[in-house]
Amino acid sequence: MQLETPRRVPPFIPLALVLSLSLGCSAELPGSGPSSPTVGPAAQSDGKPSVDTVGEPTAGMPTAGMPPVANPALCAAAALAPARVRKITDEQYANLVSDLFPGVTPLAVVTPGAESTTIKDSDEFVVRSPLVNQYHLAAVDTATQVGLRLSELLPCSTGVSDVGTRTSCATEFIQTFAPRAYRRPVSSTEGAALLAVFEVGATASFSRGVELVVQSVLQSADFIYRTELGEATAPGPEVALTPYEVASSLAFFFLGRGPDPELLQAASLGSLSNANQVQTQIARLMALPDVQARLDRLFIQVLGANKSLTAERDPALFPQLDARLRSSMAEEVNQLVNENVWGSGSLPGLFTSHRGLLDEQLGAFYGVSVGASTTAQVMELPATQRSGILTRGATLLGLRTGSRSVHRGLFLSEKYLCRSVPTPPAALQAQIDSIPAQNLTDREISELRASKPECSACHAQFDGLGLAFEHYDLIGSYLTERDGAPVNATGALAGTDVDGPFDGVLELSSRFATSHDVANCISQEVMSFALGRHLSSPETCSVKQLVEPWSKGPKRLDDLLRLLTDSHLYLNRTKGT
Amino acid sequence: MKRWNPRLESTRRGLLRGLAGAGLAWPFARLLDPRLSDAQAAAPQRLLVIDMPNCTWLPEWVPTGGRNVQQASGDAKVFQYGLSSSPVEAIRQYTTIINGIGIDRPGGDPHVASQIHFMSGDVKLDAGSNSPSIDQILAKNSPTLKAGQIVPSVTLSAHTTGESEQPSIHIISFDDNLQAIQPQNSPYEAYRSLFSGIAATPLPPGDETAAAAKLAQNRSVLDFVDASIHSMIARAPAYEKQKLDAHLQGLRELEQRLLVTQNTSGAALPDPAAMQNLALNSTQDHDKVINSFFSILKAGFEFDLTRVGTFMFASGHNWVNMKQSYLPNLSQNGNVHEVTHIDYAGKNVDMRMITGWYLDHVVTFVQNLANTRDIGGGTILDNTLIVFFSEVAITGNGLNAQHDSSNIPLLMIGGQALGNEGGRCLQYSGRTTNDFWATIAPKLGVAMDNFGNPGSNTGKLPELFTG
Repeated sequence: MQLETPRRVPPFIPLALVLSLSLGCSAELPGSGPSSPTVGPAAQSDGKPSVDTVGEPTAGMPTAGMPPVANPALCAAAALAPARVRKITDEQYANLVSDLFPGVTPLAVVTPGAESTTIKDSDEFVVRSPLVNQYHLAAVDTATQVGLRLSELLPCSTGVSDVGTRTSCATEFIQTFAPRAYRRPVSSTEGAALLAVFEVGATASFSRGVELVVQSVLQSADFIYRTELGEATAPGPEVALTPYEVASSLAFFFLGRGPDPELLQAASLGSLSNANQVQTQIARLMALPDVQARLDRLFIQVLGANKSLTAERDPALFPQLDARLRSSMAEEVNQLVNENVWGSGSLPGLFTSHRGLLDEQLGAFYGVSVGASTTAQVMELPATQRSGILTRGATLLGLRTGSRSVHRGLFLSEKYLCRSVPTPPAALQAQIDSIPAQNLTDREISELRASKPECSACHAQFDGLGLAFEHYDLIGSYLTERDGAPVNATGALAGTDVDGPFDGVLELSSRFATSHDVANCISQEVMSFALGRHLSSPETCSVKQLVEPWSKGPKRLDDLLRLLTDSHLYLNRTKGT
Repeated sequence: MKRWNPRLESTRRGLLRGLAGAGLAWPFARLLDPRLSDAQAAAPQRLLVIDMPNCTWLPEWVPTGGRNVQQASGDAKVFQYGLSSSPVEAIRQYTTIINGIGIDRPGGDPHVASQIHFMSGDVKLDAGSNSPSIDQILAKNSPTLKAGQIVPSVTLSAHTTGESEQPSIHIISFDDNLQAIQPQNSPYEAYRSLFSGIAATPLPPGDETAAAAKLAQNRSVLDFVDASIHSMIARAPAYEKQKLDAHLQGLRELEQRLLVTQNTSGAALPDPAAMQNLALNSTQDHDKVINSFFSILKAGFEFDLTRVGTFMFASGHNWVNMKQSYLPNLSQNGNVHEVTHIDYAGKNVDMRMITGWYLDHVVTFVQNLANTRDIGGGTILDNTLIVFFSEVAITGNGLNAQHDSSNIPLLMIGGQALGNEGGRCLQYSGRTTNDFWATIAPKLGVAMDNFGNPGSNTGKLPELFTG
């Protein structure tokens, strides 16, 4: 069973958010209501700038469900991420170790909780005992592999014959290995400490000494964390990232690994404190095929089209949804994004493109004959059924099951309009409980909610959006009828810069293509990933200001990446205390 | 042989000084071997919280009879389990079933808010907790739970994802700084956290010198790592200190665990090879993951590596498809949380089967603990208080699929040495889970007038314990 019931559904099939009829939502719409009186990053009692989720209801912040509003007063103050330390992701860990020791296969490190979060390098991750243990075991394993291949990885190790040559070779290893691991120069104190560790192991063997150095570095804070602290002595409330921190930020975002030689060299020359040099490096990185593929995946995730391989559907109900079709859907959306990030397209093209990469199976799924070709090819899709990313299988398959109006509406509301919905106060539960079971369609349930002010305050923001997808079933097949009647996919968009009625997701996509609000939201999401944090409301405001000129232009997404990563917001932090 | 007592050496440096003073004669495995220490050691006490999310059909869960505590009537030992709770009959003698206790959550997602409020007594709506969770409070403050600390607590979950992207749907533990403790969802990693490096058999005499040398090497590495974290604390803003302190604590736990080098007891460790390739957060291996976690918990208790644990069968949105792999006779196909939200005739029967499936695992685990001798006499179960709960129950006729936390499924199992007599049914009315924990905490040596939000407390629960 998948919870799009073929005919009628009970009225409040809520899952948690269906129940989120909320008295906490306001009928105010973005742009129409007062924005937060808070100016600048609010400070908590511990002095840490508050980190509130995008749009999350916070005392003094815009009413829940509303996208952040550009308020000049709000944006006037510094709205930077705080100076901080961030744990590297599991992927970054693996890449760093592999790059340090080519040919070595590091043990996988799996951060508890990472599977449940979208931003894998969030500064909220804490390294606790289980993860400390994993780092320990992985470091021991890597060190053992290094020890077995020492003559290859450290040629001078074959010539150690006395204390002098031993120390000299160990020093060479430390001076080469540690700066690359730390992504910065290593101080003489740190070098001496590592040499002391080496000497403990060297009483057994030279190899053992090197292994202990490897273990030490790979478990040390300087390896496991990225710092974004800037120069401690810098005056004023803001601090610029150091050149080495800039190198790491660019490298981890664009490459998913530590700084490459060019970045390290630029950092060592101090040139990454120069805007032109930063732009040069960004341009270089963005031209790399691996970087483009990586950023394609980022956009696919930001746009919510990343679940075609994993979304669960009942095979008995959808036997055609096999691994091959899922893979074809993933490849199709990858091509769509790639074309509109790096090719001739742009953000509007993502919403309006009628071209799709089709193989025989996906073509049949969309009702397009691909002929005798054995390879996938870019073809025109049925213009009345498929247009842009919201109508592609990869997106539709990833939509949550359950109440269509709610879950599909929340998807659009959260992913494309950056709205969030507060949870309901307990008092509402009794009201929900009092509603008797009725045999209503999803649209009828939505209309019932719309008739109740306590429900509509929140549900009006997304129920209608969700019904725009009514032409598509749970795996994205196109429907002309539901519940024995022609599909009704009409709705109305409210609270945006492209308000008005629409009929179906194709019309909605056309609106989104021209919407500044949607462009701003996507920009905020990309910036969240780039910074590895859920942006505070002041930060979202600053992002909006930053991208406003871009959102009024052709909206090229490669331009957006350059704009965000070369920005004051990205390269500076609020100084910590 | 004197038993090493980490209480006396709570700091890392103090610990190492103690080992140096012992001449590094490699006594650690024996010193930490509970079975060789029975004569000297007092029985440990332990706490395990088991969470079975959103599975219970309340009308069929509640027992009939028993002791109406507030009316001071009835016999606690004369009662019948409900249809859904009937599997507990198999461990009746160890179990107190408690009815009429609610979670006083102020709103929020019924699952997230309820499970957090149950554990911390003061949920912050959708944004975590206003109070540390009870497992962390007790692990840190209970003299008897602290006494055996090598790994102060373990936080485990057999399935951490669900339909929702709510970041807290799988979290029930919060540390002193109110930071969420992400549960470990991998049995293999949980195994490695507790047992890696522990040899299955005693080291040959000649290897003890090598083991001592290895200890010295480990020490030099961990000293370096320790210094690196302290250096980062010195450079980072003060608000990052909490995070880095947690890392330091983890390092201390690693160091202490590395001292346990061999299993000389003859008791079996779980087989990590069987855990290594389990599919995590899946339906297909849900059963194996649960069994693995229970075997890890049992061994962790048996070797006295940890005394506090939490274990969630799944996230607050249980996303396991029972019909697909375990209960083919269910009339509805879908993930558990989906099923709880569908209206259909016979839903009570499906819910009963799902609850029974989970309870059967609990029963087997409890029986294993009851058959395992503990340090200082008695069984592991005698000294381990297991609190079993579900954060919501399906109420009414279930057709509206209401998730209600005003009366939650709640069991106390084992812990006879703490005064849980077992074989009892206690009926309360209008009492809260805050009251429940405020009553339990003193039993573990932590004075507590109120737990969590004072406004959610109505007083201690009389008659909860008999001893």
